[in-house]
Amino acid sequence: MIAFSHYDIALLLQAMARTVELSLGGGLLGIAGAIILTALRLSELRYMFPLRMLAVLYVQTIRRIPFIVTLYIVFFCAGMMGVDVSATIVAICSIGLIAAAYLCEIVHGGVKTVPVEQVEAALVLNLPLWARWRYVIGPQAMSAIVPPAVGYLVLFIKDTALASQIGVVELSQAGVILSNRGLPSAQVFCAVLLLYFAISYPLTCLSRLLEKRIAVH
Amino acid sequence: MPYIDVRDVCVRHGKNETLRHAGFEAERGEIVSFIGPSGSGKTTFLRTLIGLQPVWQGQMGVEGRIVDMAAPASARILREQAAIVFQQYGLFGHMSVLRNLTLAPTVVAKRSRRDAEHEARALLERLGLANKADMLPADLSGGQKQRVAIARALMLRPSLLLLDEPTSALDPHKVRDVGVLLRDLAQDGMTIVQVSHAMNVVSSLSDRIVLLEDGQVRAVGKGRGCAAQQPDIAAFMNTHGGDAAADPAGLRPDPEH
Amino acid sequence: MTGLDFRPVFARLPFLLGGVGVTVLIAGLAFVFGLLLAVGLAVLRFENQGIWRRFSRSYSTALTNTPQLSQIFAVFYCLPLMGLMVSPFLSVVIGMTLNAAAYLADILGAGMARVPPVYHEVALTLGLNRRQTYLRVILPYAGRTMFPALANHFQIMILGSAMASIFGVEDLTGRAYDIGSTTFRILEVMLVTGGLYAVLSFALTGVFALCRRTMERMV
Repeated sequence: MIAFSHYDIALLLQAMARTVELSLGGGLLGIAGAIILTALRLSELRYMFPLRMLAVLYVQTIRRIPFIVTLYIVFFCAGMMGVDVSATIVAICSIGLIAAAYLCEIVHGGVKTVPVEQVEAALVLNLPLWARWRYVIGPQAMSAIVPPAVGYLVLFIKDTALASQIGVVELSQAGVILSNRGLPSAQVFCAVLLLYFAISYPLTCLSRLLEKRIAVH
Repeated sequence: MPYIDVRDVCVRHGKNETLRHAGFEAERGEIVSFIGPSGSGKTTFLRTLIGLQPVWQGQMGVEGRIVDMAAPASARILREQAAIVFQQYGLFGHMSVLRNLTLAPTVVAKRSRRDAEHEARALLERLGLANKADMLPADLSGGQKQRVAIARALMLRPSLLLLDEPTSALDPHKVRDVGVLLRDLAQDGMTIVQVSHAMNVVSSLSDRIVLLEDGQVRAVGKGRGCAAQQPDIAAFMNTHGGDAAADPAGLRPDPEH
Repeated sequence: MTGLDFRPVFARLPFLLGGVGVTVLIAGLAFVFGLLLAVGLAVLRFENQGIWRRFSRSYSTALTNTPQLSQIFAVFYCLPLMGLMVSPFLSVVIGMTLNAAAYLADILGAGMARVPPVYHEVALTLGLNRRQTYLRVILPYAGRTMFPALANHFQIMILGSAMASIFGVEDLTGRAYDIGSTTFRILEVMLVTGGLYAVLSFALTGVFALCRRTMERMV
């Protein structure tokens, strides 16, 4: 017996779209942040030293704070500074802040897999900075970055559930709303879990596939 | 005036001085070999010549043009006249042999791709690699990889070719091939500097031998075929000659790396 | 914008610090019970070719592809339907245990797959029975190779246990929220709380490094 009305299903689907929006927005912000952080960490200029240390400190610390605490900090910080943005934007920013730190570790690790001799060979060929990244480091680091990055983003889709705590009506919150409206809890949470699974599982498979393909190489 | 004149190169790691006022000269078309015990600074010295190793002070004259090696901008100038072949070759693993050769000419020197490929194919042909152009480095043998690395260096049309341990990873019969190739290149007017542990290669090939010890130049021997007769160098080669005899290809890994 | 005022937070620091104990307790309980379940799941994967093996894999796939928060919600709302009245604390521990079992089973499975097959054969020829083989040979060997992954997952669980606050449990985050709502200094208290989590996590990293070194010395 399915007890959902059209409205309930519409709510669930809307909430699912919100979850995808949070994941995508946060993921893209995280990728941008990770690239900036990695660039800071790899810079060899002497006057960049304080910034480099700051980047390392950021990456090391933010990964040790629960997502929900970061979410509260960003939410109340925005409130205190009088920035008037929607809870969704706050959630996307928080996800971006954390994803940047995790992805930075992955990107940095990937860049380090390119053999030193090749980097030096690119240097002595007098390739300018952009060409070293475009032709030598980038393509080879990519294969070490993409599979774990996809794997990580899959993990993060599930953490977007916490955005419910600052009032974003995403998938898990929709479940609570429907359950509180008196719909049978078992069915509601089954539906919610299934919808999450529908988003997450294909990406899990993709990440595994990428890993296998690269292992073959 | 010598063609290449390197003087007074000092390299410091903290308080340690890994090179102390090292220098050497070379005429055009000479083969120079750096020898010395492990940790004597041979590879470091070689790397300073192409701006991979920051130096405290030092200058390099090429045909009378003086480069201050300690200046930040010197690396680019040094790399315009020199090319290096690494011990591990450093071929770009994701690119075909041909693209390894044409990358720098097309991207840095802005030559047309067709022109660069034409030259690259001719060069590969000369080195006996004509049928390897479209292969990936991973599919080549050690000796083939090395020749590709040499070809890539030659595409830069350097006046100075540096080689780090060119024979250390090769089978004994391949060592002779490399020797012949280097001598050919020298005959064409290229100046070659190599670091080597294989004393038989050094003594048969070198026009000049520079013995380094503890970051300093201990002795220099000159003259094709007789460079090894300088007394200090002969003494070093005798004590390490046992090594060379037992390990003719220098197959033993260099503990410096 | 008003300035930050940390004094009300520091006045309640002992209460907040007590939450660290609750956080570690939740994560610790869920980790231990999760590990026990995971050992069972991992063994199923290697021993049975049929339905149990598929069950074990499906369990991990299902629970690693859905959010822990929704899983805890499901436990929280559904156990009462089955006539079981459990405290929020227990709901959270049960939810986290079930979730941890899925991830830990994957870690254990991968670790056990790395045990050389010859170990099984050697154990057989030595006359060990199946239980002894796992307890004495396979798990100790796999344990050493899996230690970093297990330690890492424990750290993830410490962070994940902050979800307990959503169900009214007085863990570190829960107490922080309490202090925030009584003093109206929620940003300040959350900043301090974030710092406490970071310190806790760095401390755990140190402890795990020490454990690892001790383990290596015991070999």
